Amino acid sequence: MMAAPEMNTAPVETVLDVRNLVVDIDVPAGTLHAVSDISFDLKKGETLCIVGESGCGKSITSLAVMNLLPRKARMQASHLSLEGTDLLALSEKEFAALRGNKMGMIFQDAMTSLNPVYRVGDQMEEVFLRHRNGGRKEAREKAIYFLEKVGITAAKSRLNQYPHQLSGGLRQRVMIAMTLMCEPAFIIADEPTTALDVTIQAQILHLLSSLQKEMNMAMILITHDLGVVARMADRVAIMYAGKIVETGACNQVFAQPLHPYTQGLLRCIPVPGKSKPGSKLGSIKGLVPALIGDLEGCLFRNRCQYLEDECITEEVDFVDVAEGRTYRCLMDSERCQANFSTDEIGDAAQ
Amino acid sequence: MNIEAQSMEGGEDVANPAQRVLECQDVSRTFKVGKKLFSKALDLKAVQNVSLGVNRGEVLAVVGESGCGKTTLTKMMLGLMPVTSGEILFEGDPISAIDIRAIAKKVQPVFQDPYSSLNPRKTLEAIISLPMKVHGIGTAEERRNRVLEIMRLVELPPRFLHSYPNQLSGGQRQRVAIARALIMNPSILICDEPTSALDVSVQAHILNLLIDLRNELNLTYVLVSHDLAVVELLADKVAVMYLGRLIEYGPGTEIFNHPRHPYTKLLLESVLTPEPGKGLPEIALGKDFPNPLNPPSGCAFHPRCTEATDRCKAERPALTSQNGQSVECHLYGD
Repeated sequence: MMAAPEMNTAPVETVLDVRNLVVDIDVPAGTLHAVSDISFDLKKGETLCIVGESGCGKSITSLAVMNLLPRKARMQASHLSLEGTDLLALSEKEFAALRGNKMGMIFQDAMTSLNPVYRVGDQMEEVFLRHRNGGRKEAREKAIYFLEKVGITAAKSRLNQYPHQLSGGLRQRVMIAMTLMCEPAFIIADEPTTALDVTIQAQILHLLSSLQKEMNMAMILITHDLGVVARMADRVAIMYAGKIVETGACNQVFAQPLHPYTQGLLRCIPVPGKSKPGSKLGSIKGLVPALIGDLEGCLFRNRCQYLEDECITEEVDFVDVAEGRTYRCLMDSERCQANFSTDEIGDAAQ
Repeated sequence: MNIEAQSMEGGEDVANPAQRVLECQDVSRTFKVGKKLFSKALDLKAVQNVSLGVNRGEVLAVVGESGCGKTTLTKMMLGLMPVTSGEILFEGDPISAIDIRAIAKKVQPVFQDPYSSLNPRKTLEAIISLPMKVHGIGTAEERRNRVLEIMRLVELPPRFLHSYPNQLSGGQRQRVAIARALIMNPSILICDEPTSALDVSVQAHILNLLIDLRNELNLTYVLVSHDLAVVELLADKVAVMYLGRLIEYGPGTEIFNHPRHPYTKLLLESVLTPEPGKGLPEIALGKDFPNPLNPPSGCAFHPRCTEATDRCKAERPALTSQNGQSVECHLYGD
C-alpha cells in the first residue's frame, strides 16, 4: 500500500484536501448542524464513496466543496484546497472559473439538471466556451468526441436533440459527457444511477469507472447503495448525522466494519444468493436524531445496542486502527470486531 | 382461452382453484397514442398476452425495466383500467363483472412514494379510516378502534393518531400507507416498488413488516420491484417482463438459481452485491431500450440479445414450460 502523504507537504498527488469542514444552517428552530467537522482527502485517480442515509449531510458536503451551498448555510473549514489552490481564499468569480473547469458534478436526476429548452449540443458547448479560449467549432468537435466517449451512437445528430427526446440512460450519459468537457481533475457524482434501471446502472457505472481510469480523475461518489459502493470505491467514508463515523479502504470496511452503524447497515441489506427467501433482515431501530441545537456525545447512541453512560456525555473522537482506517466510537477496536462477523451480511438478524 | 392459459402455466399446481386469489388469463392492454388531426393513432401494446396467477399466501413479483408494462399490469389487477383483451379473475370471478367497490375492498395498492400518496392535510386517523368511511362501515367510534388496531399491527405508536404525514419519517409514512391498505381486510396487496423511495435501514424495517404481515394474516402480495435482491427475499413466484410480454415466469428459487431467458440472466448479472473486489459486471446489452411503438420483429429482445439467431429476428418464440418454469425463447423448447 502506498504511504499516504502528509496532508500539507505533498500536494502533488492529493487533488482535494478538506480539513474540519463545518456547515451550519439557520432554521427557525435554531442552528441545524448539517455537517460537523469533516476531513478527508482525495488522490489522483481515486474513488471515495461517501455513504449514508438521507439527511446525513453527504450532499451538503459535496455542495460545500463546490461552493454551491444555499445562502442560508454557513460554511467553515480550516483547510480546503484543490490541486494546491486554496479554495477558501477565492472570490465567487474565481470560483466560478473553477467549477465546470477543474471540478465537475454529476447530479442524480439528469432530467431536472439539464436545461429543457436548450439543445443538448448547446448546453455542452457552453461549458467549453465558458472556460476555454476555443471557438464554436472546436467546442462542437469536443462535444461530439465526448458524446462518443460515453457510448452514444450517432453523436452528431444527438447534439440537435432536446433532453426530453432522450431516454433516462442517455440523459445521464449526456450529463457525464458535459462534465468531462473541460477534462476536470476531480468530479463529484451525487447518486448518479439511483433513478436508472439496474441494467443501465451497471452500464453507467462501468462507463464512469473506465473514464475515470483513462483520465486519471479523482471522484467522490455519493450513494446509499452499498452494492454500488462495494464495486466502485477505493476508499469509503460512512456518514451519520453530519459526521464521518468510519473510514477505510473499501475491502477493509466490508470485511470488518467497526462502527455499530456500519455494521447495522450491512445487516440491513438483502444479499442475492445469501439471504434466505422469507427470512427477516437485520434492522437499526429508532430514527436519526434532529441535528438542531447543541449536540453532545455520540449521535448514534439512541439507536446503538451497545449504549453506555459515557456515550451520552463524552465527546467521541476517531480511533485510528491503521493508516487511513478510522472509526468514531468509544469501544475499542477488538470489541468492535467481535460484534460483527461477515456471515451476518445479508443473513437473518439476531 | 381457459385451457390455453392453463397449459401456458405448465406443470405449476393449480389443484385448488379456491386458493387462486388473482389470475390473469391472456391479458393484453393496448393504448392509442399520437393521434393528430391528419395522422392515425398508433397502437402501443403495453401488455401483451400475459397469463399468470397468484395463490393465497403467495408473493408474486413482477420485474423488468421501466416501460416494460409492469405498472399497467398492476393497474388492471386493481380494476383501475379495463383490459383490451383477456380476462383477470379475482377468486374465480372476472374482475370486469365485479363492482369496483367490491374489488377495492379486496385488492388494495401500496404505492412507491409515501410522500405523495398520503393527503398532507388529513390526520393519520382520517387517512387510515377513509376506506371504511367510503364503504360506510362502522360508527366513528368503531372506526377509531379499528384504526388503532391496524396501527398496532404495522407498529405505529397510537400517539400518531392525530398527527399529519409531514410529522412522520419516510418509513413511518410507508407504514401508514400499508395500514390504509390493510384496514378493509383485503386478500391481496399490490405493492408497487414499496421500498425504493426509502433509506437502507428503513427499507429493512418495511420488508420485515411485509414478511410479518404475510405470516400473520396469510396475505397475498403482488410485488412490483426493480430491486432483485428484495424480490429474491420476498417472492415465491417471479414474472419477468420485457416490452409488454411475459418472457419468463416460475418459482423464485428456480428463476434466481437457474435463469433461462438471456434477459433474465442479464438482469441477474447486473445486480451489484456488496462484495468488494468483484468489479463491475460487463453488461452486453445494447444502449437503447427499443421503442414500444415500433417493437422489433420476432423476439422483441433479439436486438440486445447476445445469443440471437436469424430465427429470433423472424419468428416470435412461444412460451414453453418445463418444471413449472416457463420461458419465451427459441433457445428452449422445440
